Amino acid sequence: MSNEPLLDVSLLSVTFGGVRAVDDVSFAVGESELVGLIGPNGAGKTTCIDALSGFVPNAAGRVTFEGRDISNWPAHRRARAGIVRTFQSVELFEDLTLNENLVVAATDAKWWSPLADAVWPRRGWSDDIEWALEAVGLQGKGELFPTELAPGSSRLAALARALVRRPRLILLDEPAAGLNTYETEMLADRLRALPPLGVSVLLIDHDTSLVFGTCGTVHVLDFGRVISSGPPAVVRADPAVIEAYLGTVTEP
Amino acid sequence: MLTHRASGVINFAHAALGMYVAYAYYKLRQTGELVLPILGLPDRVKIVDAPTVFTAMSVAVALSAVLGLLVYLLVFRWLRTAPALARVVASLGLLLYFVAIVKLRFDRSAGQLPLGAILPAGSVTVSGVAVPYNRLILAAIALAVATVLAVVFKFTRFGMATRAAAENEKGALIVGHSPDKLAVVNWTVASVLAGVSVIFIASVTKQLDPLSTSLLVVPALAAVLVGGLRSFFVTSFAALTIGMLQAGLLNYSTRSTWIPSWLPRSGLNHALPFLVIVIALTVRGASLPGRHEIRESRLPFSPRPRHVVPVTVVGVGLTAAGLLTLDSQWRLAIVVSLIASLIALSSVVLTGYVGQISLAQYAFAGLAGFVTAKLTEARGIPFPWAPLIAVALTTLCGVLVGLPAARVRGLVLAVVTVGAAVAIENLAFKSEALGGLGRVQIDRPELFGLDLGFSAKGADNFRAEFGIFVLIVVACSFIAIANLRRSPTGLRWLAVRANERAAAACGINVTSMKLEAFAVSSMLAGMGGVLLAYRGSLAPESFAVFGALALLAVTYLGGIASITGALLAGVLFSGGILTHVSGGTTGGTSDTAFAVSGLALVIAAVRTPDGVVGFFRRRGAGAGMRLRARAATGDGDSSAMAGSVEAR
Repeated sequence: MSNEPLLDVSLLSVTFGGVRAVDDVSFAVGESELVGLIGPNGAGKTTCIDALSGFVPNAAGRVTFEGRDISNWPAHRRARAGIVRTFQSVELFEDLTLNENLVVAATDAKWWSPLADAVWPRRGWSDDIEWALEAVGLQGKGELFPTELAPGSSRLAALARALVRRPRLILLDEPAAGLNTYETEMLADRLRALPPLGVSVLLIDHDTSLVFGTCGTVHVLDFGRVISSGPPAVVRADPAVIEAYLGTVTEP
Repeated sequence: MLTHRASGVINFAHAALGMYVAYAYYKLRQTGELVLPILGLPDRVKIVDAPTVFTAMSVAVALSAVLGLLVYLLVFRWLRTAPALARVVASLGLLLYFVAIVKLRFDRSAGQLPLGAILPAGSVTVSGVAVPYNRLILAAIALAVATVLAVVFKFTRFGMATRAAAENEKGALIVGHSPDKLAVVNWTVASVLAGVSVIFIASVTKQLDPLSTSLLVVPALAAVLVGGLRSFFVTSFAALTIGMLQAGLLNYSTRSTWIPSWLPRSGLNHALPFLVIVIALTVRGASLPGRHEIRESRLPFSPRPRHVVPVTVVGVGLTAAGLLTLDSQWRLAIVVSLIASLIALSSVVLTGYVGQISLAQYAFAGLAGFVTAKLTEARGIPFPWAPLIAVALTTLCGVLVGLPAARVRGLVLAVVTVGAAVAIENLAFKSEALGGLGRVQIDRPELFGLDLGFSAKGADNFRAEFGIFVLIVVACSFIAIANLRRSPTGLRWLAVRANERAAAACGINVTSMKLEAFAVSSMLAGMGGVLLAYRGSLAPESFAVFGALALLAVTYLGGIASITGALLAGVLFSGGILTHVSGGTTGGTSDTAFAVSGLALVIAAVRTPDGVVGFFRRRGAGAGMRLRARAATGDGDSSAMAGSVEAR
């Protein structure tokens, strides 16, 4: 188990009707590693995250996490096992305050919890909530509703909600979408701080500068296939990648 | 179905509109008067003296067209982007309204209306069974209409535009079609079809009744769901098959011997649509909504209960004082309101907190009541145990009905639960094992030698002891639900309501949360039903689907997402405190009240989705907002302020 990566994806395929959105994709994420997954629009990046987090069934292939085959686990079970994800479109619970959003994610329901809660209501508060808010720099904003947060802050809030159960691996779907340059830089700093805390990251974005600036390893998807893998410097120079992106990778 | 194409609405009031038109048609044939369906306008206008079939039919067609148009322009046009709940509630309001107006403006029974034959009589013999001509013709007409519609929708520009608009309104708008105009045409056509078909059906079956005709919508919706809201052909075939199976079952079950005697013979055919719906949906559904599924706008805001302890102490104290000091009619009104608020609370949990629209809660209450009656009467099980067993059984039933909810959501779930309610009504209430069709009397409850019975002789009738007992049960339930709402369990429920995908990503098992809510909700409804049973005698019709609609209506009016709303619903419920204060008798319900509450419901659905509670909360919040805004400007935290202004 010591040499095995945290997450191992081998020959993963996802099909919608006759279309192969993800086609024989293989990669791994190691302990405390930051891995990037980039590719042009429609390359299958989000579908890949959907498949890893249990939101779409995989047609073929195997996903192992901490040595266990999780290919057929439902979404909530994967989250409880330590793989959490964020969404491209934030998706905070709008009827709940930020704190309540985190409470929902921090505690697991037991079969007796409705009975216990009906008799004596708990607040469900834990130190993890404070820690997660601090990790994204939103301390003191817990009583606000998601609609009261600035767009950039609500992305960070979604990140906090993913972090609150102290996962082993976090799958981020375009966390920088809609952020300005300054906010993106702040985000990059926060992401770099995660691996030392024991959280590995799989980062998906088409802002290539964020991915190249933070990740140790980068995989490039195009039409559902991995067309290039390696350290940022190598991937950046790969002619296949340049072709897929029509040269945009050379821009900063 | 056409209606759904037009505006994404599953219209529960569709058959009711048809029912109204049919009434108007036959009245027209009889007296030449057209009865108008709008409160406040003159009852009827004379059109011609002795109308023929043709003139009467053309007037009926015009009437249904106008009604369809009005319904769309006044109601559903404003609800195009509203949550499924608002649309269901609006169509239920219309259903209530049409039924009440027919009861008000026409003679009580359709017996006086000549349901004359329109189609030729006579029959043809097919493999030993006599099939009347008129049914064959009706079936042929139905298929022909389906063919015409299918062709129109497939090949004409109009049909394509409608399909485009139903799939993507914005897209259709960009291409240059007005979804509004398309919807108007489709609603009109759909209403005319509903009107004409009910006229024909009534002429063939010789049956026209405000309630049962309106509930024709249930098998119709079953067929529509088999057709997947897309194919006219599949739908009409499914409808014909369901109809034939129902008739066949009815025929067969009266003769056969293998059907166990505890199943009511006439109930089976009514339960069939439910089975069809469940099978069709479970095959089609998915356990989590897809990435591209359109998100509807938010459900009513669910306020966090505050000051639970002081409010409970004051409320319980006042109610107890009222029960002990006021006269017997007051005691009855208070008890009715308390029980109704308990059943309303079950809707608040399921629909308000978890977002699952269920119309079966009232049927669950009835189920628990009947089981209690049967257990005490036939098995001799004493008071505290019989109700407990009944409530447990109801909870189990609730979970079973909730199973399809794991795979379907929104409007479709509402259809499933209506089906379930009709099935329970026909299978259980009319079953001989549960007392048959008659009224059921129940033993007086007794606990530790204390008589908790309700009725007594003379001025002492409706005893306060029973009222206090009900008050304790209801208060405990409300406290428990308030506790749940404030704890992680309640937060998880709201999370599922807000966003199932995100909830799953947070490690929440969405299916088990829904089943949990169905269990809690059915338990509450069951408790309400047991209390109703002990209040007096039980009759199956007191738990009919119509009652369920009325209850959901007042709950929505009160505020579906808050426990205060449930309390208000209890006060508003017919026979409750409001009825007593406004001087009405606590006995039957007047049809005018139903008509008004139907209208109020439609208006509430369009204007104030948060109900009465939300209305006052918003006004209060408005004042609070201004203060906060001022404070925020002081802090210079303008982004939060802009956000909060936007949020309200």
